[in-house]
Amino acid sequence: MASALATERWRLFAQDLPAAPAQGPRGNTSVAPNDRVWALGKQTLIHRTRLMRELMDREKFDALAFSSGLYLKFAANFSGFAGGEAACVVPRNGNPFLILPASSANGWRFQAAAQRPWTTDVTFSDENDAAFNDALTAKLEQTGLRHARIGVETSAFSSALAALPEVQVERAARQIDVLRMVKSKEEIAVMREAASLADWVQGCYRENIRPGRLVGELDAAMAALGYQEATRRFPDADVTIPCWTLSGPVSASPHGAGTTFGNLSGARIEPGHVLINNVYPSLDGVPIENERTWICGKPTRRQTELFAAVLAAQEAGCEAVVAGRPIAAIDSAALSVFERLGFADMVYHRTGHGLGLAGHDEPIDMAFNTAPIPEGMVTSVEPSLLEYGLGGFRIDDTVVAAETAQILTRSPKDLKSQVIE
Amino acid sequence: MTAPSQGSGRRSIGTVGHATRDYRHGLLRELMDREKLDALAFMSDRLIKFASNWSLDVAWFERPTLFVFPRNGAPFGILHELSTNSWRFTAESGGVWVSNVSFYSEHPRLHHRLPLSLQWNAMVASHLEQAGLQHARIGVDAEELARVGGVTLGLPYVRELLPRLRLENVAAQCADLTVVKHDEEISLIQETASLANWGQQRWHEQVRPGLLTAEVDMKVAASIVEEATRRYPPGVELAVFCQTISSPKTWFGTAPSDRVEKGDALVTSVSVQLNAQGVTNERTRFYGKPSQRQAGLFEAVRAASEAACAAAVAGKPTAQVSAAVRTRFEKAGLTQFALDDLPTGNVPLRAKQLITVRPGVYEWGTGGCRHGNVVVVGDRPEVLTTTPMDLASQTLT
Repeated sequence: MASALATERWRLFAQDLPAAPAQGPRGNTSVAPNDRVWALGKQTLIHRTRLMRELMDREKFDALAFSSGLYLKFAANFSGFAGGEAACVVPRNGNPFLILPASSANGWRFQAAAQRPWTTDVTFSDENDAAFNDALTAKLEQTGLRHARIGVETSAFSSALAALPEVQVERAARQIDVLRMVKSKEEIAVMREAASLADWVQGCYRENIRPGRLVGELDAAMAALGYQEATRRFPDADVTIPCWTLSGPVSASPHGAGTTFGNLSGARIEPGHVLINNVYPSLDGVPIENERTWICGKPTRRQTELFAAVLAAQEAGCEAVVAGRPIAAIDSAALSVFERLGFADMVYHRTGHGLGLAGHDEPIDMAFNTAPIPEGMVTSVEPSLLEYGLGGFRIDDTVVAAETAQILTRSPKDLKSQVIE
Repeated sequence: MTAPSQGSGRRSIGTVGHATRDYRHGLLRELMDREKLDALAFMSDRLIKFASNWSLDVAWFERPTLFVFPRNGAPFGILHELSTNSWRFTAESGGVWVSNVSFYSEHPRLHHRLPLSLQWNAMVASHLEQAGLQHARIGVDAEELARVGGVTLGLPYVRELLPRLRLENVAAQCADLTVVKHDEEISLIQETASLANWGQQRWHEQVRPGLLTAEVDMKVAASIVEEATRRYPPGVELAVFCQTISSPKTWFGTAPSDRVEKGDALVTSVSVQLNAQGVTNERTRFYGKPSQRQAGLFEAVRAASEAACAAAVAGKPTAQVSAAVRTRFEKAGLTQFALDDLPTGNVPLRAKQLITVRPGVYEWGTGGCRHGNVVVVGDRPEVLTTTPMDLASQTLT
């Protein structure tokens, strides 16, 4: 049984794991000397534990089990998963535990040394199905879950649990996904910091967009500036700053013409171009979105008209991010503006989507979702107009639902600010 | 410079042409005949690109896209509305191999109505009926299901509407179709690798003590974009990603706030994609003289990488590549620190197959060491990632 549980190899990897704290939940909120919060900690642990327990009580589950990197982060705050087969089990009554593949062992050790994960109970398994199944089976037996009813995020565990026929596995992906919809106050604070960094990077774009510049070169240069600023603000943070611009007619396709986050060779900013840039910093794995439309040179009448329509629609969408109103009202607020102005035929996507660990997070469907907006939901608001031959016009803010909408991204979006003379 | 003339069907720099299309479509037909399938249905970005030459631009979990290739009949696609202009750009440049596509919408339209996302299953059923495939036996490349607004979208649910439709998961056979490359693809991959190699050399030149590793990565990415503009005509699909992780976190962390310091081991990945054909060139280098232990790990990885590349010989078992690595690491006493990402199995390697070879060792406290290479299998293996792997070349002073 469990031959892989303590192979010589993983003892070597695991021998110096930091000791567990004597008691109480782990969770080390990271506050930089300047009081910036750049990582998730105890408050998010408490928030998510409550959500998971409420779900287990509602569905009469004894435990929840997760297998994807996304949920290892959600449920255990572990973000060093290097792929492969993994499990995070959160019992209704008891401490969460993880089964991780060997390739994640050092990733775990770095995070454990910084007291990031919310559990110290981890087992490393060799990277084959049998070893993983043995490790999971043994752990479920040890923790008294051999007769449990377990809600799972994916179908990954069906064969793994064959050795425990009395375990009832129930697919609960729909209910589990909804748990990501409402953010903790701490998570929102982290998103606010990421938004502020995005605003700073947008300021760099304002200084640096100029005709003749290669678009891909500009984006890389702006990301480099972003990393320098991030290091000043958040020492040692887990930060990524993807920056991606589309300039001219190609911007009429929101995700470009070709590889996402790529550009066509020779793509340059030209006088008269409309540009859309995407700045998506994430801190501790939590991303936000900030997108702006720019005009290179004096805008034409058509550009001015479309820009104004998008700005009006986007502001109407933002204002609709109010707790208690229908989610679909955000979409209808923006679309109504386009209908009124006669531009609705140039719309090719919903007004926005939830933001969180998954990037595009719950709610995925904005246009037809009549459920009420929960307080603490974070969404993008990014209506666009796309004219083939001319380009795209889109403004995207990250917005938190409350009594009145809280817009986290504050960089200017009015036409005057967005024209590069 | 002239624009890529994909429309003529001849291969241009940075693309593949009709010879590749005919080769791949021939492979699709052979698969259908072998498995007695009436059609193939693709939902993964990899197979969609393979069969249509169009780069999918939306995510399957929220915006499913489907391409159907009937054994007898014209292929068709069901695309998300967001893909409208991306499709149009590529189609108008003559770059795609499918002409019949239909779109669905995720937002309500007063005019120019389209089926909604929530009607995706019914839309697909209707298109299969129109193509006479409602009773067909269809091979699928994936069983991915999108979930939108509480509705599950995917071919298994289409079958509820077309009860005599039969679906066969042929993901493994589909993956196999992409193994042996057409000569045009090999040329494209050689071009891609050459650009990635060029980028590794720039990293070497750009690095300075005190710079953030992320800063150096971005400078290199920018210069690769510039170089691509010099090398290729306008309009080639290009994407560049560079990432460096410095010791001791190599492989296991993202720490863009790390600054280059004397004594660092740095593992740099330079990934370049031309027309979605990617090559990743990974090298470990030292800033300053490495410690004896660092040098020992490096030499073991170099030896393992060279042995693995040399084992990529057509006709030999695939597992021979990983065995070559294992032998070197055992000899160096490093098995317990080794992680690899190597092809396995006893299937013989095939000529013009492309493999990635990236053995590494990761010692807690010391850091990691890895070289990543791309090799074309043949009677003599052709290593495309030609950046030097020896210690002298990879030690910066």
